[in-house]
Amino acid sequence: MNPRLYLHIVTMEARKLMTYRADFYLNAFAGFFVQIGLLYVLWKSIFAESGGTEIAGYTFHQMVLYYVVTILIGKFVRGSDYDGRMAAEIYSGELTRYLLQPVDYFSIKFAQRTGELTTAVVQLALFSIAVPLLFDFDAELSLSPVHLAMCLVMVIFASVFHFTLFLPAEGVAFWADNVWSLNVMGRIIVSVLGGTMLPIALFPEWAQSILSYTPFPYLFYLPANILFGKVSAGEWLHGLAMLTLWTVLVQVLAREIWRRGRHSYTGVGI
Amino acid sequence: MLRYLRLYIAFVRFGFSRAMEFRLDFWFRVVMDCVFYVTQFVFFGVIYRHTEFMAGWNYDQILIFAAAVMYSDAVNMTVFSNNMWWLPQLINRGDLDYHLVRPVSSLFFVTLRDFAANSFVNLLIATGLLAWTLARYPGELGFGNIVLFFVLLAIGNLLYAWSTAVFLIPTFWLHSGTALREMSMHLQRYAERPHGIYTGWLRRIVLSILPFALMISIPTEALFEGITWQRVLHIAAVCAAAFAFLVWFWNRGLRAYSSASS
Repeated sequence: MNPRLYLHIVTMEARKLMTYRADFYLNAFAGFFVQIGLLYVLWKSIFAESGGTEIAGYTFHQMVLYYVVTILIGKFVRGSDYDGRMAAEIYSGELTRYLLQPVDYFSIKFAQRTGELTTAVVQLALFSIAVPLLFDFDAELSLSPVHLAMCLVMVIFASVFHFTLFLPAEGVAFWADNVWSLNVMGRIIVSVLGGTMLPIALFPEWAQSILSYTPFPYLFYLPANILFGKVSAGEWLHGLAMLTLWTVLVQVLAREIWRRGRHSYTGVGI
Repeated sequence: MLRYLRLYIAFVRFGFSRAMEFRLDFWFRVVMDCVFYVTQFVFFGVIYRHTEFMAGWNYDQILIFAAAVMYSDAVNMTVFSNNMWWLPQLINRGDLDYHLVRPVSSLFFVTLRDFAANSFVNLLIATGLLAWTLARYPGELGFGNIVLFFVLLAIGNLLYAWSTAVFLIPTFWLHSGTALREMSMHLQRYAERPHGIYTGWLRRIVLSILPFALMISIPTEALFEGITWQRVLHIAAVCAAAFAFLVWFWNRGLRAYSSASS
């Protein structure tokens, strides 16, 4: 895609999202503190009941920080509530408008999503000022330039994969009227297997071993653990390779679904 | 009252015929909720690998609590959720007009008209899971406590719907319900954890102001330990205040509503 067109779409999408300022601030701050508040009291209670100072290699402080980091990373990997827009365009017949343009549809959607991520970047910037005042980052996190760079690269790969992951489900809308449930199912699976619900280290060994061949632990769990200094260069490279491999595989599947779907697409809409 | 009952029966009938028209989506939603149920068991199962108790409850007790979470979720998905999700759009597009001119309570119509028949299948599954966790519980629960448990869960379901509605009504002024809906979903997670983990002012909030603890956790506690008169009075007072506030808030919202230009 033409870089100027790409940038134009990114800017337009970012502006659109910033139109609802109340949404932005509620999502950025209130949502974050509500989530962290619950996780804080939950793990405080679990640590108190277990009687130990560490669970699966995490102290209480590290556990809370783990969730802080995964929530912040999640904003960038997931973007905003994008799921379902492509399906809605198929359902309403709006897709026709894009098919007539000499631009790849997925590229337009990726540009729109990048625009959405700009709000995540703004939120991350705001949090990078506010959160260290509340949590003692220096004591637990390894914020060296190398680790920050490793984490950033991993998060970019993860974000691209996350975008790709939902393309096949959206394509199902060519045959089904509503794929909302598929998207929600995807989000639930990503949340559990990606480590935002619980750190993967808490899972049994056999489950961790199986998960290492899937792309999910590399979306949130591994990027977060890079900042804890728990990831070696080899593991990082393995993670990038897995994400690349899975992105290509899912992209091929998505392209095939969309190719077949376009044959059955009538453009009539509702 | 009879008129409202007849109306609701019609909603249920329409819900089933609509669900039968979109069969693929019907099954997607059934599978989606089943995935959610599995994650609930996985969550508590993994945590109990590292501790014997959470908020004073052992694994058998937490399984009943987890099943009660699924049951409550299924009731809400079946009866209320679809309606709540559409509320911001009704307000922004001006479609609320059609409901305001009907000779029935607008709040009744807006919150109950869409019965999700596909989630009704999940309600049956969730009820089965709850029955299974109750049956496998090694201790004595008592028939009275089980009845009390289900009565309190029913009240909890109304409070759950209340919490969603209260967070969506500000759409009348803010014009976008996206973040508000997300906020209510984040807050409702407080209902999905045992109230024993909350202490101090947070405990007072979840027991009274935003009564998430009354939705599932307190009913589960009543199942194991019974209930005191103080607690009954407390629940009655909170429910009365909550629903009086909802009606007042809804009416304030309607005053701010300016039809299609909202």
